[in-house]
Amino acid sequence: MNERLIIGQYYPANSVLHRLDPRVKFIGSFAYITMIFFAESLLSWFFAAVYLFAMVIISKVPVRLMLKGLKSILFILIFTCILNIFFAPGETVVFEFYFIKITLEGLLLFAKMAARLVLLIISSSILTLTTTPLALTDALEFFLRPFAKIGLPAQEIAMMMTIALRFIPTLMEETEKIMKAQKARGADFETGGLVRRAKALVPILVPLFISSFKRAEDLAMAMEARCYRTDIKRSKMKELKFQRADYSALVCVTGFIAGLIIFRYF
Amino acid sequence: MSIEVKGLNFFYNKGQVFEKKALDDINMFIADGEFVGIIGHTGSGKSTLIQHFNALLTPDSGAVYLNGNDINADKTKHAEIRRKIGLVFQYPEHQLFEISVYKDVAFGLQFLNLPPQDVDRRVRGALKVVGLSEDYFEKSPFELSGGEKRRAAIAGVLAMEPEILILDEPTAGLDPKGRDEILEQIKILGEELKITVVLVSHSMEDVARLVDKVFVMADSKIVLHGSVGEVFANSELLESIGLAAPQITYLMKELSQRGFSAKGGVYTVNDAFRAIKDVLDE
Repeated sequence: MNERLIIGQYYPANSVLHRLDPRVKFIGSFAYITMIFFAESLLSWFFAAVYLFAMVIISKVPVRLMLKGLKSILFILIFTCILNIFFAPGETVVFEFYFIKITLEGLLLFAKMAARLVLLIISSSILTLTTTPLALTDALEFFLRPFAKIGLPAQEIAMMMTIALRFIPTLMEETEKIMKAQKARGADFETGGLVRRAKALVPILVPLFISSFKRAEDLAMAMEARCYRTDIKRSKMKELKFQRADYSALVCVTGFIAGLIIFRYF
Repeated sequence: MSIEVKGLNFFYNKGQVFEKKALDDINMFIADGEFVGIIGHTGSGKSTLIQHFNALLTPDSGAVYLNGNDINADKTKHAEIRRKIGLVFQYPEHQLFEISVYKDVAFGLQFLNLPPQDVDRRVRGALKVVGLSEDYFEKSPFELSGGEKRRAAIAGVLAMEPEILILDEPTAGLDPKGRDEILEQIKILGEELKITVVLVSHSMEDVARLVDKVFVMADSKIVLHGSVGEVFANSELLESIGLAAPQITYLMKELSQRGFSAKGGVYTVNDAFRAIKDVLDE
């Protein structure tokens, strides 16, 4: 069950990327994603791919795990492939058969789209695989802080995200447990038509909802018992602080952006 | 029905970074009609082991045989096997979901294509065994007390009329009264229905009171097995893995060390009572 869910899964390892300040990684990923929409020439694509590949190597996360995340977008890839190849406008016909017309422009367009999607998924996978969900929310809270002035509850949003992330594995575990318990009572989730399968979810969802509400209540009580309040500024156990590696990483990111701009305009 | 386990090994998250050996070369035999206890510390592999008995988990190597047949030989038969082997999970009340107790107990039966009167007979029978009267039939399972909920959940498994009943910590989190009631009913089940019962527990007192044979698990392995007397005589080994013989056994030991010569090998309060009475009567 866990294997399919690679986006949002932390892979523990001891690499430079793992130790970086989550804010730097956030900026890095964001910059990367923006820049791949900016890339035009073949050379710039090559540059972006090499840069990303270097990151994968540095992260010490097995390439196999990175590629797993791609599985989820396989359908979108195939779909855009078909659309682009058959319906993209273009003059240079490569292959023609009745109404099917494959043009060089269509193929190129698809290649670009596919490359963008793949790089996008891998780059965000690097972020989530090397950063714990908690560190991610910390970074997010930092970036949301300026918006607090216009009434955005940055602290609360971060807290909500932290709680939600914290309980994903718990809920998954619970689902598995309930499924097993119902299976042991003779329930069957694998066979039958759509209606039957949908109905088979009731014995899982009802207990799951009940325990979730109960857990939410307990959690709220526990937080209040520890004097959790939303109307004050909370201090942190671990303050985010830039180290030397973080500055070097920022230089690296800037270099990448500069590189792509040079490829684009010169 | 007999259960035989041969050379069973099982890993959680096999092939991943988080790989963890959960069962290490387990060999065991439980004869038809036996009442067996499995004891061990939290995380020793008890719950993982019993989930192999009804094919909820598949061994990475080794095999599980029911009446001599490998249960993983044909995966299409798993559903059928699960109907013959009733597994009551820890905190089974978390699986309740229907609008009435009656309907919840009948849940598993709908997959058997039984005639309605059979379903009715089985549901009533199961609820009677766990001691829930007709007043409870139309109640929502969520308005019951903790002990009642658990009994309703156990009834849901019993209604399947399993040939083997496996209970994972059936008394966890219950007050002494609820605990005694459940254990008493389990005992009656084993004696009257003559089905094989496997009781997983870390309460030595419960195990000593009920079972014929004990398997002790520690660190993913079976470290000790035998009759109640044989196992609890090894109190040093039990202590070294974080368990202990029943408290009453220690009391009797202490008594005999201080010159009170009651007979040894006492594992339940009732036996202790008799042993002390015998000495005092002399």
